[in-house]
Amino acid sequence: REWRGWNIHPPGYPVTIGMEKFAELINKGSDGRLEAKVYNNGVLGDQPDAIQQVRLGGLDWAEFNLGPLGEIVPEANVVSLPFIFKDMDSMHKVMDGPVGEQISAGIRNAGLEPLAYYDSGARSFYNTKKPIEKPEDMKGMKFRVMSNDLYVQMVAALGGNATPMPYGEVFQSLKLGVIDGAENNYPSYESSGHYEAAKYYSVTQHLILPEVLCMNKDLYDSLSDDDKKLVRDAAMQSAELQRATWSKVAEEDKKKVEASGVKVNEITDKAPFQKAMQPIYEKFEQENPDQAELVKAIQAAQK
Amino acid sequence: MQITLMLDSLGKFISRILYLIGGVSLVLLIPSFAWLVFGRYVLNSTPTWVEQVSLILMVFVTFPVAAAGVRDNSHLAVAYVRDSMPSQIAAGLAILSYIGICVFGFYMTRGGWMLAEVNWIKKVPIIHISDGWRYVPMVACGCGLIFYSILHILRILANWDRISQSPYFSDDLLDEDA
Amino acid sequence: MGITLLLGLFAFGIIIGMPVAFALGLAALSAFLYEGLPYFVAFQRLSSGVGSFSLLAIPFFIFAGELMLHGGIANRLVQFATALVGARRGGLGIVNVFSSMLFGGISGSAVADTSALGSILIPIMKKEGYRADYAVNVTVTSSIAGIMIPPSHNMILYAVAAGGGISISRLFMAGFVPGVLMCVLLGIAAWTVAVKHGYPSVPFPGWKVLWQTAVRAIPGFFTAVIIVGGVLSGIFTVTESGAIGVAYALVITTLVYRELSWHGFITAVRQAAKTTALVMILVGCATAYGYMLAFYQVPETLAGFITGYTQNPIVILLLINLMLLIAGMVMDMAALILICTPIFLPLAVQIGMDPVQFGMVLMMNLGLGLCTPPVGSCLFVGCAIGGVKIEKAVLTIWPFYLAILVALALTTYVPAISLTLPNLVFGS
Ligand code: NA
Ligand code: NA
Repeated sequence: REWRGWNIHPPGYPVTIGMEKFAELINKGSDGRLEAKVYNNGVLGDQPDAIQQVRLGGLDWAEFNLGPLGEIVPEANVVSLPFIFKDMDSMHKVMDGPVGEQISAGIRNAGLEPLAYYDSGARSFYNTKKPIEKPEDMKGMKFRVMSNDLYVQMVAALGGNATPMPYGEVFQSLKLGVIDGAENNYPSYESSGHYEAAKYYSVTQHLILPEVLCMNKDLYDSLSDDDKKLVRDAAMQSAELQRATWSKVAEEDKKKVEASGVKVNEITDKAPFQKAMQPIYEKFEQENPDQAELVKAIQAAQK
Repeated sequence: MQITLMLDSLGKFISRILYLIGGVSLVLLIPSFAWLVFGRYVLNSTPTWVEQVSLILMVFVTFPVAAAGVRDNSHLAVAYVRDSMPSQIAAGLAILSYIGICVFGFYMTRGGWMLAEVNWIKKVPIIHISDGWRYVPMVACGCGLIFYSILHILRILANWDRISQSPYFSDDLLDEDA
Repeated sequence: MGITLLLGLFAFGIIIGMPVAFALGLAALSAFLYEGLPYFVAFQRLSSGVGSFSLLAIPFFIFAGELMLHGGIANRLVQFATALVGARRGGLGIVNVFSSMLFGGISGSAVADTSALGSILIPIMKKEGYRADYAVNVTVTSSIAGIMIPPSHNMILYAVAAGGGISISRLFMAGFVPGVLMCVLLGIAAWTVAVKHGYPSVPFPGWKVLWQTAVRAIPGFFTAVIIVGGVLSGIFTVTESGAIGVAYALVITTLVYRELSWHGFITAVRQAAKTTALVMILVGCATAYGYMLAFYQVPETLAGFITGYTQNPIVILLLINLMLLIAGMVMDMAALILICTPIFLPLAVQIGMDPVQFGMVLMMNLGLGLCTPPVGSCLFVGCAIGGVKIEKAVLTIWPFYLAILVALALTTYVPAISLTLPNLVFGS
């Protein structure tokens, strides 16, 4: 039976390249005994729906962002805390260590077998007005965020006006001034065309959300030990390819938006931003006492 | 006959409630968005709950009224083939189509129930009510589809003599005393 | 086998008169069960289809249209149009087309347009000595303008069916020129036929009356200006502008025109809730159906089939148009937008057509379908209002079909007609 794989991205996107590599390795490695196939562009549903489908067996495997996964995996919520990772390298270090294991265990509890962690880059703020160098620069500006309490609180804590809005409306709203800014990684900033409307990209890297390649747990458990190893190895190889492709694409897209006149500014001192997050962390730890230690562990691992 | 009439008036009563839920939800959407615009421009603090609340309101407009629509026969349908048939065949096809709606309603009730159950522990972001509420109107709609399609079938059967004497079958016959 | 079940059960449901939404839903459900997929996924897709933020503008546009109908905005627009262009030969035909341009600009619904304007204009036209079939023909064909001229909830349906990658504002801007073009061609058709039959004109009421009717119509017409202007200026998003449009229409009809009674308000809410529910449940079921279409890779298969037959873009476009026209004859618009977009859009894009332009072509094709037997809601409503048999109305409708077909051909083969305006406003 064919393993149906869910992917929200279009062909050619780093995630798609990774997933297709995984499918190819599975098909080849098993001499056609196992067959995995990717359905791109989210034709089999949006992310929250697809998460349920993989859990309950409607789909066999998928690649999810840990942000939406947090709704059912409490441990995954921790990485949605703004500014929890310093940069991409710290994130890799943390996720490939014992903390990653803990999050994997949470994902497993939800009925998904995590196979490997993919990259989705670092999200930074961009806007139509001016470079953001310190939190005060965001005061009064309307920023579009994803519908998630933590992101709304983050913008509010930095003095901005958080405006949840469907992704499809963002370009127009930036262009016409309904909102002043939004936040995303380089590849999305470029492919969505938002860079044509919002010319200031400030490298806050406030969210570095890993993504996970996973499969239905019952399906994984039903495999022979040899097939499990085949799946794991294929996942690791695909993740290496995905991460490499991602950093290459991100670099290219950065050059591309800069060439089009976007002003990119690095944040020399992130401390004031991180300080502003203090109440959010406190509130989060109060509401999720089970995760408090995980937060500490992530912070300690980056010291 | 007696039972059909009783079910009829029950159906009418339920359809009023369904329309009431849908109508109120629709009207509530207007001040929500007015407040959203006001908050963004005047208060410079955008109310973040509007997006999530309005999506749930939309579900409360759609599913109840869609169920009532089966009672009124107001759903978009292509009836010309059926209407050009002799009355008894047409009535038979109508029964078949109501059986289809009934089966769909049965699965909708079960599917909606399951989705509500699975999502009950999940919270809708920002407004923090249970995500399961999103699927409750679907369960109601499924029940409504079952109820109204059975009601239509009973009415066709109860009026079978009249239908077979008439040169053609039409839903007007059913709506006479509605 | 599964794919036969998906397509065949749907066709069978339609033929026996099952509501389109449930025929789609049941066919999708059967395919889910047949493939051993968990059936709850069908209802998960259905629910996501209904609860989608991009579609929230739809109830607002529908609600605004109902308020215009029950609150006296529609008849003021007609009075203004009559004073302005009624004095030409066959003037009421042109008045009819012109009113549709104004009214359609707000409601965005061809059927609402036909029933609102038809019930006002058809009786007047008959009284003035116009033949009933002529009055019906002009009314139903010009009502398609309501779909083309922004705002239009069908455009939103299209944007969503296309996967959300198309900007609604672009679609709105793109509809202006094809919509006006169609109205001009229909106006010429209406005028030509009127001259041939020697139809009378209404006397010009004088500048003072013209001015008065304009002043009376303007506050109502501003509903459209607010909705479209709000979107284009960036003050509101599409959804917000719909809501603000409704709020504005409420204020105008209750406080300024004082024509919206409590009863009228309740009727408007009830009608709007009903239309919204019917459209949205259709969207939901079509979403579940679309899942299985994607699962069986139907669009790819069809595209491969057509491109295997011919590579010529002109012929492919002609084929697409033909298939859409035939589909439009036997089914209604909203369902077809949802079903045909994922099937035909990739093919159109493959041969180099802009998705925005394809949207215009799709709207015109399916719009024409609303005026053709055997299934054409606008034609049905128009004939019912005019007291004309459908067979009789279609005998004399061909000049109007011709006008729409010319507009369709131009829109299909001249991208500039659709794309110039949006490119000018938003950049290409
Ligand atoms: Na319109
Ligand atoms: Na008209």
